[in-house]
Parts: sequence; C-alpha cells; structure tokens
Amino acid sequence: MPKLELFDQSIRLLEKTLDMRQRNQEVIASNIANAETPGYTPSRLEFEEQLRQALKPLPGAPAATHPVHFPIGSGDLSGVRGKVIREPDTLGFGDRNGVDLEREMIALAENQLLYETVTQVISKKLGLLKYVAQNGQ
Amino acid sequence: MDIFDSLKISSSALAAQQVRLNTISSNLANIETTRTPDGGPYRKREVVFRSTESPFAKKLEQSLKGAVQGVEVAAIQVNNAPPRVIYDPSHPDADEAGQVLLPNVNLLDEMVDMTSATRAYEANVTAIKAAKRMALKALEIGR
Amino acid sequence: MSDITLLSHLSNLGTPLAPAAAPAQGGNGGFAKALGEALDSVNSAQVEADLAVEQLQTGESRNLHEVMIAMEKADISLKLAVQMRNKVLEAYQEIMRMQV
Repeated sequence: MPKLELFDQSIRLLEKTLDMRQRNQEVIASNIANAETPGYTPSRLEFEEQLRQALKPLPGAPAATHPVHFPIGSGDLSGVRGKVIREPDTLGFGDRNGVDLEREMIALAENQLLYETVTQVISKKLGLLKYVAQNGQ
Repeated sequence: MDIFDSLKISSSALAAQQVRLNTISSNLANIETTRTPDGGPYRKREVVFRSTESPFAKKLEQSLKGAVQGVEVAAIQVNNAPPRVIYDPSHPDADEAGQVLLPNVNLLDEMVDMTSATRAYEANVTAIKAAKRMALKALEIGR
Repeated sequence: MSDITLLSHLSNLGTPLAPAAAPAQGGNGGFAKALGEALDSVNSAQVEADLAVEQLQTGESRNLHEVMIAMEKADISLKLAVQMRNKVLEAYQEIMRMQV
C-alpha cells in the first residue's frame, strides 16, 4: 500500500514559488532603498528558469506508473534557491549607482501581484482537498 | 528570508531620506545666512548615503548577502564650494569692497534635490505597502 | 504542466479508501497498515505545523506562508484520517449486520 501522498508536486511548486517571490521582495526593496546610494549595484533574483528545470522530467527517467503521478523532475524542487544576478551600472559616469527606480517599482508591483495570485491559488487547491477530505461536506 | 526584513530595509531608507529632507530644509532656511558661529556665510550641507550590511545577514545565504542591504546616512558633509559673491555695499556684512559673501546654496538645486528625496521616500513607502499586503495575503491562506 | 483538476485529486485521494472494502477478503493486515501510515502522516503534519508556529513565535523563521500552509496541511490530513476511520467503522458495522 503506497504511502498517502496528499500534497502533490503542484502544491510543492506553489510553495516554492511563494518562497522565491518573498525573497525577491527583499531584493527589490533593497534596490529601492539604495536607489541613491553611490556605487550601489542592484541585484535581481532569477528563479523561474530553475523552477522550470526542476519540473522537467529526466531523459530516460522511470515513467509514471499511474496517470495521476507527476513525473520526477531533473532537479529537486526543494533545491531551487534562486540565483542572484548583479547588474552593475553601465552608464559609466556619475556616482555609478545602477538602480533604475522605474524598473524597480514595476518589478515590485509585478512580484507582489504574482505572490498574491499564488496565495489565492494555494487557498483554492487546499480548499478543494479539504472538501474532498471532509467527504463532500 | 522573510517579509519583515524587507520592511526593515525599506524603513531604513525612509529614515535616510528623512535626514536628507531635513538637510535640504536647513539649506533652504539658511539660504541668506551671512553670519554663522564659525564665521562666514552658511555652507551647504549634503548627506552621503551608504548601504548597510543588514544585521540579519548572518541568517542569509551567501548568494543573497550582497543583494539584501539597507541604507544609512554615512555622514552629513559640509560642501566647501566657494560662497556666492554679490556686490551690495549697503549690506551690513559687506566688506571694504562692498562685496557680500552669501551661502553656496542654490535654490534650484535644493528644490530638485527635495523633489528627488520625496520621490525616493514615496517609492520606499510603496515597497512597504507591497510587503505588508503580501504578508496579509499569506495569512489568508486557507481562510 | 501538470494536471491539477479536481478529478486527479479525487483519484489521488480515492486510492487509500479502496482497501476499506478489502478487509472482508484481504484480512485486516493490509488496511490496518494503511490506517497506521495515514495516522503517522497526520501526526507528522501536526508536528510540522506546531514546529512552524513555534519557529514563527521565537523569531527563528518568519515565513508566514509556510506556517499557514503547514497548518492547512495538518488540518486536511486530520480530516481525511477521520473520514477513513468513519469508513472503516461503516464497513465493520455493515459486515456485522450481515446475516451469516
């Protein structure tokens, strides 16, 4: 009898996304806070690619034996940490502060919206599970 | 790795921009001040910002360390550019040649700086609002 | 990406309930083991949720969504286990009612 696997990969993916977006919020807040700090190099957090990699099935991996089992990814989802990319100032003059405030504000809004979307999606999914677990009540 | 650190970072920026606004106010208030305790006209004050290694840095992973930083005012510098000189023999502080040394504060520069500081302040307030909303949404999971 | 429809979840959840019909034939070993495993996972879900809340309060980790999700998972696990127990009880009672 296989172990009860209630919380499948899609929920784990959503949780991981929340982790990454929260981390991203910190990075963006740092950039905004240092928008006028001389010499400051803004950073970006890249994680979408890592998530994609972690979800892709390995070539030659064991095939799913049951239609509802999701394929095992080439990377472990829990290992996704996000990559920090520094973006040094390219203008070459002034105080070498590379922060573009407009861009950061847009990134802020986008990140926030996506985070909130995922919380809604997780709530919905957990709600469905709860409904089923309560035998339709 | 939490939303509260983001709040700390943004609020450090609010504090820093506030100091900058105060400095600008001081410059504007003293734009005509010809007498100071140190002698001579008022000299423009400027803030110097510096990013801070967050106190929570030890909890962060190596890769994030450089990316998550607050900001602080490293120093309030006195600008030693030469004072403005005008010719006004009737001024109480005119010298023998009738010249008066006025503060090296330029009204337009200060107004532009003030606009910039206000914009930066507001940007950080927006960042705080975003973080707060995210946290509140997280609390609604499952409700 | 992956199939996240209600149906896939239902069938996912449906598998552990199937053995409820089995005790009459397969004996109690198979199902008792399944129930035991389910209770273990309920317990570990509860422990995880408690730990997450504790870490939040002591400041060790201030990951809000982690805590909320852990609590919901524990809740769902518990509800499911209760349902499984009810099903077992029903199946048992039905068997007892059978005229031999």
